Amino acid sequence: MGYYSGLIKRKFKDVVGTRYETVQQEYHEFLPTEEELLPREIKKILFPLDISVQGVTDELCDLLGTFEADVSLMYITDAKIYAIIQDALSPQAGEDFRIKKEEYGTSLMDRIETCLEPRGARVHRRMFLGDKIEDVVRATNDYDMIVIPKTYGSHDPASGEVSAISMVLAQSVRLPTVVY
Amino acid sequence: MKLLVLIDGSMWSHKAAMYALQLARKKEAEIVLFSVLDKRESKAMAFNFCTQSNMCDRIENYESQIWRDMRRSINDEMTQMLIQMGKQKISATSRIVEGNIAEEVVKEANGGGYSLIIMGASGKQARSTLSKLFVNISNEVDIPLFIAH
Repeated sequence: MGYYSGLIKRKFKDVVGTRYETVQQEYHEFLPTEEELLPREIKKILFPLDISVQGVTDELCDLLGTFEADVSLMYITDAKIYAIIQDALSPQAGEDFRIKKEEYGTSLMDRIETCLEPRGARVHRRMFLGDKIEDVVRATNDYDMIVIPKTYGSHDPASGEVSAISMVLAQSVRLPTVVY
Repeated sequence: MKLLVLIDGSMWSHKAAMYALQLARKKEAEIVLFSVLDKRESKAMAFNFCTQSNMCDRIENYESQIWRDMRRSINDEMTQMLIQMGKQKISATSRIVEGNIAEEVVKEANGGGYSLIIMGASGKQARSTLSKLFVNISNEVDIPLFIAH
């Protein structure tokens, strides 16, 4: 008997007997199926970034390298703030804002790529104006795992605390998640 | 690499252990299965039982019985996991402590030389809810957290 079927039998089937199927359906919120208990094979990793993220540690790169996966760095500049600056100041001021943020994004992604590639990860990059929550949640459908920096979307990255945006992402996604 | 795997008896923590196993195989990592038993949990269960059954005269007995069951149950869980890991030649140990769950986890995570914490996504709550423990410890630990969905 496999580990998972043995586990389910030990914890539930032996207890509820013939009512197992009904119980499994009614208590689905608490009881994963055998398939759901199997760890996912991690082939594609989503790694959202923004101006608040300062970098990665060697330990994190070691961990991500373990999967020998494709890692997509997704650097997002807040489209709403960009639009507000364009409207309130000038289109050029909006462009200056975007260019400044994306210069940082390029240097951040350079550093992360330098850390990840020697460890076996294949790094891909995207950089765009968007929504730091919605665009990430939408993208997760195509990935097996997500890495969320604690300071992603933070107004006070120096505090090192988990930002409200990172917390929302951790609560919204249904993928294996690394928070660092 | 040393992995701290948080076990609370939920099915999601089993999944966390399986991810740890997957990682340990690739990295030749050492696994520590860690569980915290909080006396307040057995107290709360005994109190709920006594108020609903109108049999509060034996509340202390219920509490100690529930406490013994909690210990036995988590011990059994961990033993099964250790057997599974042993079969795959993974170096694994287990540790059960008593106290406040978040405090004990933070103490262990920050002082035990670990590289990663691995935990179930929902604990004993419904699958749509992110584990309260994650919310409680995420600002306090210095190492990455892997949440097993």
